Amino acid sequence: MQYVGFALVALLALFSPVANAQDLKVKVEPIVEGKAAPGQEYTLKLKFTVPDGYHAYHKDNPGVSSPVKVTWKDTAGLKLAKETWPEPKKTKIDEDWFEWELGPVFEIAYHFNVPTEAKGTLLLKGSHDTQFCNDEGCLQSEGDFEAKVEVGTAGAAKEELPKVTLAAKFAEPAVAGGQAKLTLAFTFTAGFHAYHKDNPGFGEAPAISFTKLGGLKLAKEEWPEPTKKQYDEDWVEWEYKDAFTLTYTYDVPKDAKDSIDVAGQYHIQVCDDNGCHIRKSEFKATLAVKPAGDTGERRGSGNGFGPSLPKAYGQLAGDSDDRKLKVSAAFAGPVKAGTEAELRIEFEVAAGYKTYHRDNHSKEPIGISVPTTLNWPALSGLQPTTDIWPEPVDNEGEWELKGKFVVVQKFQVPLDASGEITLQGVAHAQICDAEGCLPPDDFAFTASLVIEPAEDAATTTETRETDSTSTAAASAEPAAADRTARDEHGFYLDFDYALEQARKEGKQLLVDFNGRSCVPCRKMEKQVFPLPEVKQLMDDFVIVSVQNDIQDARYNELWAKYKPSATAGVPYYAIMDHDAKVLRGIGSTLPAEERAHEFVAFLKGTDPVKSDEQKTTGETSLPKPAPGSSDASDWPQGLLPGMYPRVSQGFDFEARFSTDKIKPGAEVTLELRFKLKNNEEGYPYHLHHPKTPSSFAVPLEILLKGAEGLKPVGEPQFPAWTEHYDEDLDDMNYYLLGEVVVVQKYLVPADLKPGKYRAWGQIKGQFCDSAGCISFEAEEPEAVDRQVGFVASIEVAADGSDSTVTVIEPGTETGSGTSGKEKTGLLLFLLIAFGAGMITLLTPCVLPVLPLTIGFFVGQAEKGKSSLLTAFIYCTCIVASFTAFGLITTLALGATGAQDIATNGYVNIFLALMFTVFALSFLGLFELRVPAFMTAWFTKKQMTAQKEGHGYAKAFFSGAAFSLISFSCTGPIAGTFLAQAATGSVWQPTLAMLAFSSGMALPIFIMGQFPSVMKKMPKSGGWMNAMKVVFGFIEIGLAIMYLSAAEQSFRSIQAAEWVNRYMVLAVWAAVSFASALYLFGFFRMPHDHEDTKQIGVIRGMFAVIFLSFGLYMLPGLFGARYGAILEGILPPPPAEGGIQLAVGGGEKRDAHDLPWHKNELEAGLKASKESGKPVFIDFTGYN
Amino acid sequence: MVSDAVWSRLENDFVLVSQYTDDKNDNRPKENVVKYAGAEFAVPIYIIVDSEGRELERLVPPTNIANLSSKEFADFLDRGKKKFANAAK
Repeated sequence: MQYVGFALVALLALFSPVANAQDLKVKVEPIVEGKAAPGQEYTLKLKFTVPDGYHAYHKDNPGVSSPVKVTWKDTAGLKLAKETWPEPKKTKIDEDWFEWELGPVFEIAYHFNVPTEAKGTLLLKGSHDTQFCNDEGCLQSEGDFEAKVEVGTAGAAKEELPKVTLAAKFAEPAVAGGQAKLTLAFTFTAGFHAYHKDNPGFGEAPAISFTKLGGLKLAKEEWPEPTKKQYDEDWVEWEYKDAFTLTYTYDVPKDAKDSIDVAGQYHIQVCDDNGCHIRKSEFKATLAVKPAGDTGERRGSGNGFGPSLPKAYGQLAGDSDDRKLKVSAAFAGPVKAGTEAELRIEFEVAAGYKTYHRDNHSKEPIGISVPTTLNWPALSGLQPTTDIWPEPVDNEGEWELKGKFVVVQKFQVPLDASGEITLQGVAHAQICDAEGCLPPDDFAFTASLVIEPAEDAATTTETRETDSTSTAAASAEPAAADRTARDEHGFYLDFDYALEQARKEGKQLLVDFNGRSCVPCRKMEKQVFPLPEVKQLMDDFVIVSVQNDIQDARYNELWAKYKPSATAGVPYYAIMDHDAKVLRGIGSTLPAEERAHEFVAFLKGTDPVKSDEQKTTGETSLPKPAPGSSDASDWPQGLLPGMYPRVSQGFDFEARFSTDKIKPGAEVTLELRFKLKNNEEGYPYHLHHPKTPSSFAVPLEILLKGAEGLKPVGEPQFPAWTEHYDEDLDDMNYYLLGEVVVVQKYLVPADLKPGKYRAWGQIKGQFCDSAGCISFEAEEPEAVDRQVGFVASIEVAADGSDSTVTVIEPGTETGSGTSGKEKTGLLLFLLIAFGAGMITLLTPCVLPVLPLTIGFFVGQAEKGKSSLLTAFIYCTCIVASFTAFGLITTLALGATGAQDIATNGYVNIFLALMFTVFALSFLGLFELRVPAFMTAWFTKKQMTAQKEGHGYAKAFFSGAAFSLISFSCTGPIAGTFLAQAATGSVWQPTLAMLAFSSGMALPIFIMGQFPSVMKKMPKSGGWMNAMKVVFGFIEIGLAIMYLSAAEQSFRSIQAAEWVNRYMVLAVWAAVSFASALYLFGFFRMPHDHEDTKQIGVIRGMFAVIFLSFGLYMLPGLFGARYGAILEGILPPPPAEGGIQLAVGGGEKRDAHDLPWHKNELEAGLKASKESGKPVFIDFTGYN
Repeated sequence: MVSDAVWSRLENDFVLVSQYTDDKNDNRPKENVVKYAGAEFAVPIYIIVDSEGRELERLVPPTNIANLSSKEFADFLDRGKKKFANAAK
């Protein structure tokens, strides 16, 4: 093995370019910006400088060059969360060969999570290993780097997740009169997404408005292509995950000089599965402007900014007194510290002119004119909260404001404020008349506020209450007729009316703070609100909906007032008393499907943990479990659907029936969905399949505990597993990854009365990552035995659906787990079978016949028969005959048979023999044929049909005859797949044959329709026989594998001794070499008619592949191990089991040679008494 | 494969008992392992007991047995041997 490696290195060394330029190095400098704040994210950039003319490569480089490799040796406790690479230059070398180049200077940003306990100065260390190339060759450079990062004080306000950042910048300097490109790059906390501007779903598009454009004119706005995520049949959300970049193209005015400052603000909704959050902030960018070359020409062109100026421009220039907009502001009156102050800003627009609403840029359709914005140069400690604008006039998409109007801006007054404070504000507005617009301008105003000292907390709240009620009355502008309106879920839409109702009816008020564009809110409405338990509880409240993302001053005000924290998102549910005081609230912390339980507890005002006891007191209307369906120890009883108690770290869980409503007498499946998450490092968690052969793994176990009325049918079915072989432990494990769906079938008895029924059970197991496992255990310590379970409910009704049974491909069993059968994923297997079917068309028994077949179709078409139908019948017949074969195998094996045969030694011997026969046939010793009478019968039928003019009947018999005649080539290949499939699951043989024959039939069908395709097929020739011979060699390789499995199953200990791993590897290597030599033309086989003097390219390629595979097998003969896939197929090495002690050098001996008392502890103890030696017990296993 | 140090100790100083806990025909090893290591065990487990079957020393997962050096393993054996000798006194 070492020599091979050595030789390879030597070989590579010969080819590698001579790197004599030693001073060529890649420089790496860490850029430390700012301080790391505990509990937040810190970004450290690495600046790479590559020598002139060279470039390095992007991490996702699809080309051949190695990407920049950065290894963090010490991150001083920081956790690497994400890395951001610059956009590479994608250089096309050749057709579909790209190299993603970086350089000469580029920065990679590393985002770290700073632990809350971090302090002092952190020293981060790492190294890089960078390949850098120019046109002539590549060099390697490596080096270490260090960065000192200071940790800031923890006192800084913690920003709540999700975080949204926006980088605004102009791509490059612009030329006056030319164009400029502004990019707005949004990034937000991983796991969240934002929405496209034309999103047809609920998610709200980000709103970007520009407060300052410095004369730039928007020419084009580009949004990247979103991910279109299907939530439901007609519910699509256009999402951007984690980040997106908008591009604005502007026309630069001809008279632009030096630089132009652009500023704006954004308002963006970001959501994850749990809720939606609004983030807003401002951004700025500066555009460097180069003067245009010829000023004279520029003036003369006449289509710039100048001529489109309104007449007002001339009047206004230099004449500031005569402004068309006047702005003044005053506070409503003195306020107490810690409360809210209201500033009334009066705008007076000159007659004939107009200005624009704040949201002119952030609605659909986007207005062109610059919206009016308020900026606060001096706030004196006040915090702006909400601003209330008058209703604009919509003039073809422009939201206009005219004459006198008032904008109300609210401020939070700090608790420590006192005396009189002065506030300075600036309204930035554009003014237009019918002919054109003035450049946007700033209009300053000041106002002063008298602050009275704060009283105690209680009175403060009261004051706030009064404040808001009075403004509520003032701003309750919407038409009174709508006050009683309710939405489809029965929620009032007018908060104040609902409050009145609540007082009148003596009920509490349930406020559903949601968003029009909030997906989790919709989920709550669809999944939780309709539950009868929830409905009934909601009847005790007056319910009202408040949306936080629509243009409604009252809603905005309410949300601003009641949101539980500055950065809280929706949904948020609050129960209020008659004074609109929040009694309790529940935020968006969980996916809707898990929330029913907590939501009910919230409505009831009970602690969610203790609500179980509440139920048993009989307070609720919940149906009791049917008598006798469970004993007292059964767990859990009478709960809402979901998981109890919750386990949320490793996965999300959902227990649901395949339909919501079912007919009595039908069958229905319960689907238990485990959506596995990733661990902190981003690697996925896994569960263990119940059939895992691993002795370490705790498998997933589903215990059905009970059901009301429903009768479980059979056992829970688990999905197919992914094999995982651990080399260190020599342990094969079966992983369940991604979304794991376990299904259980239930029968709904025909005499079951309509109503809601539930089924429940318990879940046991562990979820694991590479470092370890965590058992499913209730998070609440009070929970009964800390067990974990699920409850699902279904409605039984006469108008329910018929049987809806979800079928999943059950996991296959492999008996001992070491027998080493191939258990490729079913899909892959079927795909290979399909491909093999296509390849068989190229064998000598089929290819020469094809022109005749196609000729037959053409002939039929000439006789007026539909060639489509003819070809269809013909091909269906081929598929049918093979699939029937598979079906027979399936039926013969039976449901359990398939699982046993894999471990049965005799079956394996039979298969090995079968493959040997196939091999000999392929190699040319004899030809396998279907008995002559069968082909004769079909040929006769064919003739008769032809004579009698039944063209379609002929097509049928021809198809069948084709299957039979081609058998000598197709049979062994089909047989191989059948044997592979038979050792898998029950339906696999049928499916395998279906796939295989479809692969054969599809090309024939296509050629039947387009006979000209036939010309594209390779010409018959000696190469077809070469294929057969290679197949023959492959069959030998398969035969030896089955023989090994056979021997294994006859032995009780771990591995085969005779036909062991090494024998299999040796045979594989031998047949690979034989195939390679044959393909290279070193020898001929009996059926080869011609000598190969010159070999074709494809033939040569295959020869090389076989040669490589043969070489690859060689190290295995000396003990090397392979990857998981190959190890899954190969038998394990002969036993060294029993005792697996570390090798400590010296002479190596097999522990099996020691005098063990195998399985006889009693005898050992007896021997111990006699010899006076202690007993060493080795608890081990065969597997 | 066993190093010399471990080999000589095993060969000379101990009565050796192997317990194949997944033996389908013999349930006793399984019962024994439950007795010594509890119902949820993972092999390999090495336990040294006295003539009455009382536990003296153990190597049980999650100790990373596969990566133990032969020195560590030999120490483990020596500890068991010493305890046995002390108990006999």
